Amino acid sequence: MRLELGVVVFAALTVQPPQTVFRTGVEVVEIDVSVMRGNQPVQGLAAQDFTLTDNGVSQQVESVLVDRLPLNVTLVLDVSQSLYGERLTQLVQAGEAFTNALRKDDHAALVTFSQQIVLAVPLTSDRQRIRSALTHIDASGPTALRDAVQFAIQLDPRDRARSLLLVFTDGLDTVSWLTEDAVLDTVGRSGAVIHAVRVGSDGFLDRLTRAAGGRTWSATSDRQLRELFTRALDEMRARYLLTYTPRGVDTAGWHAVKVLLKNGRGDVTARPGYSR
Amino acid sequence: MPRTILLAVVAVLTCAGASIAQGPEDYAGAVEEYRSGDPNEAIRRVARWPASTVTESLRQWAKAQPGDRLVAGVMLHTELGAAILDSLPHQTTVQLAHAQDLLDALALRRDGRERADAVRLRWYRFVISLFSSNARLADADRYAREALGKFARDPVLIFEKGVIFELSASHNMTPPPSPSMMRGRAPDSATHHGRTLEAAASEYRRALEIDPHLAVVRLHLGWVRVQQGDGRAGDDLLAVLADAKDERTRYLAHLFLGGAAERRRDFEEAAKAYDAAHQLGREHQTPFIALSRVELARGREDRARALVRELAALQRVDDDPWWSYHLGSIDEEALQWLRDEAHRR
Repeated sequence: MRLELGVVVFAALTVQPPQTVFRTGVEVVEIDVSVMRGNQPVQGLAAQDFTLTDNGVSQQVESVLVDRLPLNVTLVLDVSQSLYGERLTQLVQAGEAFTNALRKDDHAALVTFSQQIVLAVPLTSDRQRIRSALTHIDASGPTALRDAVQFAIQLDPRDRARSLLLVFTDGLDTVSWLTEDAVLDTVGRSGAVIHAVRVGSDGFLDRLTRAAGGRTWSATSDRQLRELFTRALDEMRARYLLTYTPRGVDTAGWHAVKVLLKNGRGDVTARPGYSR
Repeated sequence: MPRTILLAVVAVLTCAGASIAQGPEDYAGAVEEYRSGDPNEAIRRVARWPASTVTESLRQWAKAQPGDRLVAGVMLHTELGAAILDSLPHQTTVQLAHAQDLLDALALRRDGRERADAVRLRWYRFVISLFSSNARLADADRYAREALGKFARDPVLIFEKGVIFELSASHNMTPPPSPSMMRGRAPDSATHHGRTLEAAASEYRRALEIDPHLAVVRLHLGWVRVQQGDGRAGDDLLAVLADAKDERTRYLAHLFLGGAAERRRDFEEAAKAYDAAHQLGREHQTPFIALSRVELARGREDRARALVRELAALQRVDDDPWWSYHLGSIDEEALQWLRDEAHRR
């Protein structure tokens, strides 16, 4: 199930699997959440284990799906000059390992960016296309991270699969047109979860992944990229997709969403809200 | 400067084995090769010579040369310095010092002063822009101060000084000291950023007082004012559109007008301005991204997504003037003037 604004579905909604549901004249909101205890995902939770408020108004969680819907994953990879050499080799290997870990019904796309943003491979189930494109990457030029994230979010097909952007960068943005606020506004209108892996520090990635209900991992060495890419995918598999029909709240504007566990034994990570 | 030159020279420098000492005759041959033969070959040849040999040969050779050859020598060392800036920056300084020695020699020739000044002015413009566009702002500032000591009222040099401040602000780098930034206590980072932008604006205003028709200076002033939240930014950018002859400047003026409107959250106006930029650069990336974001903010999601798909489908994307604006660019006009002068007979 995928959404008009990323998180809001209007009328004539089709949900598959586990079953097909048709609804008319209602809107449904999906919130993708991660529940962790320490470094381990908490599994086996059901709708009644969650409390959810939309703009402070308590909502009824209608369904919880985990690990059933396929993924649409967009790899958004920095290929600027600073990647040149061993780091690029490690990045390619990490991308290959990530691609190999996808399931049969998952789809993946590859976006690379320096100052120029390139859709190297559109969304496909053909793993070989992604692997082949990865081996042809060259590193050069400055870094347009914010523009690339905006581009990748807007390319998301918003179909029934869950969307994940995995962003990698090793430096600060040097040449984007868009401001941080502009990109974060777009994130608020999208339903995609954004995870990031970085080498070095970049405060924008923290704000980006927080706004998109995802996580940022910092690699301490280039050799760690492979492990972190795979961990990001594992984390996505262990997430829950909560569905509810908003009641008692205005339809327009920003909706602050808060998700908690009733028993409180676990840390919930979810996007802070959505825009309408 | 063609990138191929840079790579070729760097490759030669890295691969050079034992260099053979060269005398003034060989040096004269290299300058002549630069002047009327293959400039790249001349640059490669001098790149292989030990620095001490070049210094000595140059001094002896320069004593008896006519002005034309001295200018060729200036540009031979300048282009070599530019070519190795990425890999051997300290050697760039040595090459530029050689160029300056030759400029001094030119100024000492009978009737050579005027020509030396004309060459020196363009040389400074090029060298400052070379360092600025390579994010070596301290070096750029050093040459800018030196240049303004000699040509205090040259609006292009004053503009280049403003660019150094603007780039410092864009890249959160430490700006060169300026009177307006040294007042009061050490500021926090937001204030510091604001003061750096103000220092840039101040230089641009000074340049425009000398020459009010420099559209590129007004373009920079307009964009700095947008970032300062100054309501007069739009007036500057509209004036640029009235004055500018070249498409690059007009394209950027439309883009910046879009940025100004977007900051006011006037998304309709922003979309119009970005669309005008898009019309001028159909294969530039930035208008696609900017317009897509604004259309999304206007609630026109289908249009926003169509723009991104259109960008993704482009066979090639042209070099976007926004990139060279934001990162700095070399003064091509000054470089071409200098090259023409060096090859003049």
